[in-house]
Amino acid sequence: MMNHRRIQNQLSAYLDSELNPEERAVVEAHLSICDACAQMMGDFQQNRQWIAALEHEVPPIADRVLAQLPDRGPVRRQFFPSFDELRRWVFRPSTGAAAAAVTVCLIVAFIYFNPTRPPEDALDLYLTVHTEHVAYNPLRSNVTADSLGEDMKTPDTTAEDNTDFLLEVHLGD
Amino acid sequence: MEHVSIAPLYSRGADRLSNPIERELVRRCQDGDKQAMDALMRQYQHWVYNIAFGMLGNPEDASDVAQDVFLWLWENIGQFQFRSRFSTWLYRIVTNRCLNVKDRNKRHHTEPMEILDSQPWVPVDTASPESAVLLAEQREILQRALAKLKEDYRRILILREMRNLSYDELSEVLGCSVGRVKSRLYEARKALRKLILT
Repeated sequence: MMNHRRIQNQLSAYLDSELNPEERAVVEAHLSICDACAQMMGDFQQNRQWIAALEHEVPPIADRVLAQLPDRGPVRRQFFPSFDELRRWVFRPSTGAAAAAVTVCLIVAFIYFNPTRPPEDALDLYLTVHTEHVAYNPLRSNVTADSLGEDMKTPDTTAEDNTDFLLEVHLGD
Repeated sequence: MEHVSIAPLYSRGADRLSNPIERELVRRCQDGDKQAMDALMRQYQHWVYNIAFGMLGNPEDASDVAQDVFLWLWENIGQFQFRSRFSTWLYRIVTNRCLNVKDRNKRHHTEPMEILDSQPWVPVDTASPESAVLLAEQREILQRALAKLKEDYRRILILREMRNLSYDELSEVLGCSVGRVKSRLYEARKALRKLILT
């Protein structure tokens, strides 16, 4: 059962019919046994009625304004949000949370799926550099990526193997 | 002084853009039609004035704000893009204008909120002299408590209790999340209750 404090926090939403049926049932059950909460609820209802009755007679505002309205032609309709609307949209919590989530995802994706990231294992690095060298060597244009396995068994001695040099480049000095 | 009875243009819970009459009035205003502006003002002057009165506490400022808002509206109604209810857009303008007036009053060291007991009220229940006296006392107590309330609390209470705006509409008018509306309403009601009881 929800505690007394949590029920009190729900009283306002209960008054506005903003609770789901289960929450309403819990609040109503508590109100039937708790005098303090029932009193608070009664006060909320009474204050609502008082404020709702706070209506004043209205001076002839429309007549006064109408007499001051200048003639004008059609105004330019704005099809894009105003700065104020953009500001309110950007600074709403949901937009901030979405932006933070997207930023985190992009950072994680960049770290883990970066194709230029060198393999951490030295042997992997060597094989990667060697494979790239063999596959993309312009002197070996007949070699395709599919045939690399076969090609590796019979290395072409006519092409200069500068894997060591490329390895140094990959390692960044 | 004539009290204008306002019939709401749309029923509560209806789609926010479902009122073709109001949309047509706004379009005609954008095209420079003063008659349409007159119709819009007569639809909303009651609530614009009463919201301003509730926030500012005196009829002169409320009347000035209402007139300023409608004059501003005539020049800037092109900013309304039919993405929300016209009423919520208008109430946001009214409440922001009221906050500007209060800031200006603070800067000029004028009385922040003055309770005017002589202000005429719309009669709600005048069945007997006793009930009329009781009602007047209740209103005085309430008005004094509202005057002492924090600005944010007073604004949300007036919009919710007087205009019965939904949480979504309040979120739109106040520029905060629905969750914040919910918690702020609770805090505001609790604060008002405390002020009335003390």
